[in-house]
Amino acid sequence: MLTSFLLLPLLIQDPPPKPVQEPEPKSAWQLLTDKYDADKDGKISRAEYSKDDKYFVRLDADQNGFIEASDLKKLGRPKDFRGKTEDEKDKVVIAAAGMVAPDFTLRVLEKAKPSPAKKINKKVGLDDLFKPKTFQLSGLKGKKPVALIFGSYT
Amino acid sequence: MRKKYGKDVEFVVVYIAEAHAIDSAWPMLKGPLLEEPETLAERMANAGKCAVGLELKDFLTVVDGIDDRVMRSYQAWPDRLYLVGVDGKVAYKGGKGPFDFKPEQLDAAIAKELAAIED
Repeated sequence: MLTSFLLLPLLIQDPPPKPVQEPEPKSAWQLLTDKYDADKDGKISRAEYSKDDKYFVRLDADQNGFIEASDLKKLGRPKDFRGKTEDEKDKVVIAAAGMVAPDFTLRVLEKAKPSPAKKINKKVGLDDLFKPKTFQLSGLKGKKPVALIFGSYT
Repeated sequence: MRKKYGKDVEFVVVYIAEAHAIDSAWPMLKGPLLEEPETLAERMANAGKCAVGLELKDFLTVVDGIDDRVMRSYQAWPDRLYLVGVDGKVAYKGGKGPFDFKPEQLDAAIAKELAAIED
């Protein structure tokens, strides 16, 4: 009996809440089907896939009209993205040590505060979030060396 | 390295195609879960997440176009280091990452370049 009374507070009190943890996805395929496979038939049809045709074609590696788990294993490297190959007419100059660095002008990622007027309109687009500022590599020629660090978040 | 050379060298992060997007041949589930962007806006959003996640706020970050032109020109996928000298020429072309991504080589190339400028 005494033992039972000692245990009573444990029954009255709510158990401490467990920390909420996002379950780790089992696979990339699961992430994609969670997002796109609306009818849950285990494959993603063109109608279900919201992105552009060229992306669907890239992911539908066996070209059977559906993106399936087996397609992901057949994907190519980024040089094949969007149908581009080394032989296409937008062929680029390949950078090599000792040669003039291929020049480029790219958008600068720089967060800016939306102006009050834009806040009122609530039409905040890319140019409101990021200043449309550009960087041209050759602009630093004769001024200072440039270390280029190429990469991505993944 | 940026602290060491930041006054004399411009360090520029060039954000390119994802290395391990979930809709790629090499998805990586530990880390940011991103799809390969379809537009420049999406890539810029990914670059913004990267700048926050990796604390790159002090680096000048630029974003490659969705045609991946700069990435292809510099054979930069998935990651690579370069040094462009003050004369505008490629002073150092690092190996293909991740296995040949060698910051110590870039450090040595910068030291050599700066020494040459001083002479």
